[in-house]
Amino acid sequence: MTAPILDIDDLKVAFSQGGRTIHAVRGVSLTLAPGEVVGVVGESGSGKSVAMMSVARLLDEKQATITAARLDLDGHPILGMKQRQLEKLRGPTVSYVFQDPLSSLNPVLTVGRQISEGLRRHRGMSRTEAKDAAIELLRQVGIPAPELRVNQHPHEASGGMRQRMMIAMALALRPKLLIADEPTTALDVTVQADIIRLIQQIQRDIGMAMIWVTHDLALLARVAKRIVVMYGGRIVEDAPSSRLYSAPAHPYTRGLLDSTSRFDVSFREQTPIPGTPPDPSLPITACAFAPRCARATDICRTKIPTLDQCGGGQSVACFHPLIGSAS
Amino acid sequence: MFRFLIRRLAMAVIVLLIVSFTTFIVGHMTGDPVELIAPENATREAKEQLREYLGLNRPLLVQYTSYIGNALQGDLGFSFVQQAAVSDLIMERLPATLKLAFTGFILSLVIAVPLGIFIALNRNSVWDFLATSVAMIGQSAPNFWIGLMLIAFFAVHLKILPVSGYGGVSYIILPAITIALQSAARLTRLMRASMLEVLNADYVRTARSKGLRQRTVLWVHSFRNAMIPIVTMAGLELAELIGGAFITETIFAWPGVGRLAVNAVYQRDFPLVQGVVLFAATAFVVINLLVDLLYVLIDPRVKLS
Ligand SMILES: Nc1ncnc2c1ncn2[C@@H]1O[C@H](COP(=O)(O)OP(=O)(O)O)[C@@H](O)[C@H]1O
Ligand SMILES: [Mg+2]
Repeated sequence: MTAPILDIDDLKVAFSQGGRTIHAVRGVSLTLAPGEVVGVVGESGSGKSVAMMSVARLLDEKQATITAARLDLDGHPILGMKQRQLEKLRGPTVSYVFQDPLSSLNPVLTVGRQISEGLRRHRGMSRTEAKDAAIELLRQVGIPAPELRVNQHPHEASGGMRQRMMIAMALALRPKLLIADEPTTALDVTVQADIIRLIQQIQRDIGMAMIWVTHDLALLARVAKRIVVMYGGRIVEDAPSSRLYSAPAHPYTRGLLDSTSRFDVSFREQTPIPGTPPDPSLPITACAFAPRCARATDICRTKIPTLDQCGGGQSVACFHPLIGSAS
Repeated sequence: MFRFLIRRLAMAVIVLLIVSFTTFIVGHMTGDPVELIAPENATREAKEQLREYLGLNRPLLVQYTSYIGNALQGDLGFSFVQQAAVSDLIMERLPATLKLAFTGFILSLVIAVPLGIFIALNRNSVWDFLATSVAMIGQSAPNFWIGLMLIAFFAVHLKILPVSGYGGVSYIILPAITIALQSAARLTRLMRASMLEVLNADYVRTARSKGLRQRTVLWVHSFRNAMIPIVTMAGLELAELIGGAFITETIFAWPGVGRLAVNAVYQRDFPLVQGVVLFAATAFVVINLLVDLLYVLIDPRVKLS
């Protein structure tokens, strides 16, 4: 087996905020092989973004405390790293596409400048070489008239175009791992499908590993072979997508599937899961989903379930998984 | 961008018209100029003659129009009290005012920008706490109090700087500090807040995610954005320093336009008061136009609106 590109074991992230502690991530373990595409799904606030940001240590460490038994990126333990060493991994090894391209691009710098910076920093390109490369990248992500666009500012482009620019920027150094955090959530429905297709096509071309973060389970059916479900800062299920859709093991996954119609192209929410997500400022002593779960029993309210294999490459953190029962 | 500037220019003209009309009306309502100019024992006929000679018997609107017409040609009227043209009086005092205003302005920026950035980068540190507290006090301390304290300490107690007056470099230090402190306090707090906001912005996270050096993230990606609100505010501060150093100029016997205006009010020299107000308003408006231009240079988004 090849060495994993990402190896996370028991990642925890806590923010201190006005005397309170917010436990955003409460023990996440995830291993990714080179070239593998994984989808991460969960309700808003379940800790997806915070967990992903920890991979390149992008969180403000004045507020965030990150701990893990292991947090290796391409074989480098990143938790003890100095900023200087980390900077060398950001870009060529791991790269990000964020949710809102307008706020994620710098309003006062040209698009070309923002794409070429990484190339100049990591590849030592000259200004003109980097600009030519930026034009080529813009062409690759399907932006018309790239020689003109390269000198423009982000606000001069449409939402879909901006996200293409963001993608060009993230891919400039052909990263080994791309983390796309809700890359289509802020976009018009009409361009969402185009952007999804573009990212997929580039992922295949480069053969990079990828984590696709979304709160929309239906979207992942088309893009990821493996899906990880997060709830309350933990992974509650990790399974091949075919199995996850046909035989979800966790009651929460079942609820997510029921709330999203796979055949509905507009991804409309149908029956949201009743109840509210757990309060991240409270410590957990039991299954975080128990208060919203129809199957919950006494053990669910007193012990924390661990993520265990349940066959077929599927793991679930539940005392009463749906496996084997006719659900 | 062109339309943006045209619109701003039109707004500037409107503002100046309103200001000039208001001061004109107020000037005419507060007293009869003829009573002030004419000798006490003048006869009614003599006063009427004077009124006619000065054009004060014409309808107000006509008087106003000719006042504006003259102002556009640089003629702001005649001060009977001082027996000199208002524009000459202002021009004579202007260099001193500009010297004080710009020295104070530069001083304020030199303090506020680096300090604001420093405490933003070291937020919640002892330095941050100290600087923020001092800025808060400085912002609420009145100018005349700061000026008097500075005089008491440096001029009277230590005797290392002159109490007041106009002359070499040593004379400008205390008044410049006096007018700079409040402005520096405001700008420091704004710089801190602006920098903190930018450091939390998504595009700064993007810049870090590309592996850029910390100094690139700070100076290229954060600084320029953080300066956008500072430029507007600094423009207002400068305009205020030029048009509003009345108290400081009076305390330090600084021969600027502000002191000219204060004296003019005491002597009920209306043409001069009117002239100074119009001048100060013009300075304010012109500086704001310059700020708008500068804005277009640092923030490319402005071109759209
Ligand atoms: N900088 C921060 N300070 C305090 N709490 C934060 C911060 N960032 C995120 N959180 C909290 O962490 C939790 C997880 O957030 P996030 O990872 O953004 O969720 P998701 O991406 O799954 O919607 C939320 O409760 C959120 O309020
Ligand atoms: Mg998120």
